[in-house]
Amino acid sequence: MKQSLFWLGVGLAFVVLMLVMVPGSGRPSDFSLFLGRFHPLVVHLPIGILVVAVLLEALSRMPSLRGRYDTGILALLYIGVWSSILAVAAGLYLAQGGGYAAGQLAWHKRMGVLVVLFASLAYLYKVWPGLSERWLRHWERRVYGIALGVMLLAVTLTGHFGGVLTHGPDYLSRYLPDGLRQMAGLPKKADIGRLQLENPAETTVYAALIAPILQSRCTACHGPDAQRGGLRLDTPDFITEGGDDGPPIVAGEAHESALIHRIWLPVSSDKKMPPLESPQLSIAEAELLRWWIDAGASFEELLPEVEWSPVTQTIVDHMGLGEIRTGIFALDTVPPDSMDIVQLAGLGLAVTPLAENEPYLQVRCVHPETCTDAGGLQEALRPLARNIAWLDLGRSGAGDDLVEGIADLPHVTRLHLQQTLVTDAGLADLGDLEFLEYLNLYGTAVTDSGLIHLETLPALRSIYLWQTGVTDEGVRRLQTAIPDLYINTGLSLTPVEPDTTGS
Amino acid sequence: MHACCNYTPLSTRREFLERLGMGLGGLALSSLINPAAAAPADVIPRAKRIIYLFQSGGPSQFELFDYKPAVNAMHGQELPESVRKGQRLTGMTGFQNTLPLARSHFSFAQHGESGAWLSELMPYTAKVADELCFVKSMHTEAINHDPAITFFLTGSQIAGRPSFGSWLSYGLGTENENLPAFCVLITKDKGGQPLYARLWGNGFLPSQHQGVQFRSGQDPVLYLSNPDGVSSAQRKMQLDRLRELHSLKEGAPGWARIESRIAQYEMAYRMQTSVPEVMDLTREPEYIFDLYGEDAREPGTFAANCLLARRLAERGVRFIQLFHQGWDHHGGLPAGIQMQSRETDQPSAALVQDLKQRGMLEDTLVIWGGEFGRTNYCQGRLTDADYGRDHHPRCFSLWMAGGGVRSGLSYGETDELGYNIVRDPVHVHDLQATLMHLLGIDHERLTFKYQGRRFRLTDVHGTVIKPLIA
Repeated sequence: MKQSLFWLGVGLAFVVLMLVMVPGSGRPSDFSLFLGRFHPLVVHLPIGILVVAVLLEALSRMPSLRGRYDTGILALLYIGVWSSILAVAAGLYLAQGGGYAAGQLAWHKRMGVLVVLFASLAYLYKVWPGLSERWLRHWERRVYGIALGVMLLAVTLTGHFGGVLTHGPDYLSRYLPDGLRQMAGLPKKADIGRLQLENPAETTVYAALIAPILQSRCTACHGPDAQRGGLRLDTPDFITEGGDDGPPIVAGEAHESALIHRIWLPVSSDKKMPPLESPQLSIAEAELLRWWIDAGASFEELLPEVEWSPVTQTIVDHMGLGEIRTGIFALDTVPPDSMDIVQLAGLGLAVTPLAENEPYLQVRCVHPETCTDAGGLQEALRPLARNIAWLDLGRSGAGDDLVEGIADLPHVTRLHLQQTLVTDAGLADLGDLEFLEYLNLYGTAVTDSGLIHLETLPALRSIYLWQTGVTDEGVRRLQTAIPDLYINTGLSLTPVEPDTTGS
Repeated sequence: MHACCNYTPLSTRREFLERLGMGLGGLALSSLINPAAAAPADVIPRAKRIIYLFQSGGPSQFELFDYKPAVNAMHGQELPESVRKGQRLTGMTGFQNTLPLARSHFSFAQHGESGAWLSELMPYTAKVADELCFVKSMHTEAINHDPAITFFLTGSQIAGRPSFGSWLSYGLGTENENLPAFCVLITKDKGGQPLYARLWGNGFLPSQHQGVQFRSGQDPVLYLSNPDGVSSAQRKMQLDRLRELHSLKEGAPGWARIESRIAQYEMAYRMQTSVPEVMDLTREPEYIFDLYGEDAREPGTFAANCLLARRLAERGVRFIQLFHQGWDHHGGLPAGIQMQSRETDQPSAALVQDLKQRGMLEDTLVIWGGEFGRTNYCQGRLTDADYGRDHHPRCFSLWMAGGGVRSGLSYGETDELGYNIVRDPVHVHDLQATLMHLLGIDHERLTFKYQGRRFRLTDVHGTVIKPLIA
């Protein structure tokens, strides 16, 4: 017995030594990697053996079986301890090869060592029941039970983390029925691999598509926990800075970028990345990286600004990116009530939905004689205030008193006031329309002083000012205030050369 | 309910709303009636209406838009078999024992910041080149006029399907209950390939969605004015009585068709006022005639129709279909195309400019093009001054402007000799899908059930060409 204790001590010392000896950096020798490859083989021994030991101990609780299996349990625990020591040793060698997610690997290691420790503790109590009688008294049986329990838990968790490292985090839950998935807080099966973006309109391509690839395939070895080759790929700064071999990407030139070279190398090359034993990039991921670098490797470009290639379009379509919704289309607006629409239509306005399944409406004054009763119209617009996106009062009898009410329609993006009685005073009310993109004022009496109210409109893209009192000076001022604004003041005809064609 | 009547339309919320005269279209309404019914379509509209300047007969891309120096260089040489690859020809040139390449009689230059290639036949269009989106890789399935134009406008070579404008009227409804949502204007006194009313027919859609032709002259819309001796008040009374009679059958089988008839009678009555107003060009200022050209003063010309198209667009008409015949230049092409271009170039460009200064180009889609293209080889005798070209469905050009289309773009490419497409082909159904997308319609979802199946403009084809969209 003393001998077995001695060897057990040797084994534990060996594990501790291994933990100290195996540093995280430097390229491991082929032989240690070869030994590491036995980890999956050895690792299943302690799992089975220790679980059987626990099962037999549980059976022994039945009065008729008391003490029956003690010898067997003792042997199982002994073999279990040794095989778990071997598994830990092989595992540490295997981990040297790198390519595993650092967090999960650390937990896997901790739990593995815990298995060794508590299996040893359980063995000690089993082999020497009087071990601690002096200082634990009647607690000893419980200590034994607790040791077995913790051991079982540690075996389970080690196995789980090992599975996650080998097969990926969603291996177990991949085919879980949707109902259970939802209870577990997981997305539905159909949504696996689909992007779940909070606000796609303001997400960069890098954050949405590129960083997750680097995160899942590269940063375990090139991130905060390890910097193989002095390279980190977890932040834009580190990516730009590069590692021992210089920057990994050349913006605009994927075929000059080491990152792409390394991905494309054949598996026989030991410079191939990710290394053979690590999870590989999918073809779609490789293509996204190549495309992103060729497109300039921008860290700032937002999803709505992107020009997809046909291939990347296919990829992101499949990821559920769809059309990026911006402006009012990104808002969660309640659909209008049909009865309110009827009310509005009753006043002689044409009310049509902006598009199928959108909560927004386009409203148009059809005739010059409509839209003169500002009070009644404002009343009818009020319940639909959040639904009106395109408002066309052009060529109608609308005046400043009606425009005042438009200020209460927060989601108006296109506003036609051409050929109406609107004046500068009316424009004063439009300054708060944060989504207004298009404003047509042609054929109205507005002047330079009215335009000043529009300088604060954040989304304004185009404005039409033909046949108004606006001067070049006013246009210049507005253009300075909103540099990207398209200002149309009508067209000046340039003569076309007389037709000289033919023979 | 008795078996006899089980197809009686039930009084639904939708029907109720429609009866209140909201003028909402079928498709679009469905989302409001039952917001939970369908998945999001991901289609956000850019345009509200279309002005389609249809150039009937098949304008030659070689003399207008598709610059081919290689054809110039190989002028008179035989079309290489390596290019034609045994593809079918029409019966008109299939028998020719020689197919000599014919260079363009007209020179090309690049225009605007976009550097779009245009021939000297289009000096006005050249001025607005940066507003336009040229598609040089259109292709179609039909090789002769009638099937090709029917295919372009109804999505099927076989007549009987609803026209594009009817689909839009059905899908989006009208914005002005005093005018048809779908109006048709045909250049007067043009010969060439015939046009049939079925090109703007409603097919199996309710009949109020058919295109209404506006003519030049005394009666812009036929049978609209009151007969001699009948006053407007009498006509109104007559229609009111008729409506009462019709209403006796409310809810009976076929009521939907009766309703459609009532709607048309009432529309016609309102059009007695609205049509003369829209057709009256006398109040258009001088500079507008300077812009569209002197032709615009003469009703029924392409120029006058372009001006009318703008006026209809201003009044909320959804789809304004112009037809200009006479592009079918099998022979005498140089002289013929020169005349055609003179008639269409200035007014087409003017329409784009006029819409632009009114702020309407942002929500109006203008399309200029024919039903197919023409061959790179000569039909008939090739001389220095004269030649002709046969029908060619494998590639042709058109342009679009406004309505969310990417301006300053030349999309697609044909081979060096302009016979086949080498990059980014656009099928007729792709174009239809793209145009519908710009109007906020998912072309796969705007369907109408008829004779047991759901029909759509693009049949079972069509892909939205996203690069064409700004």
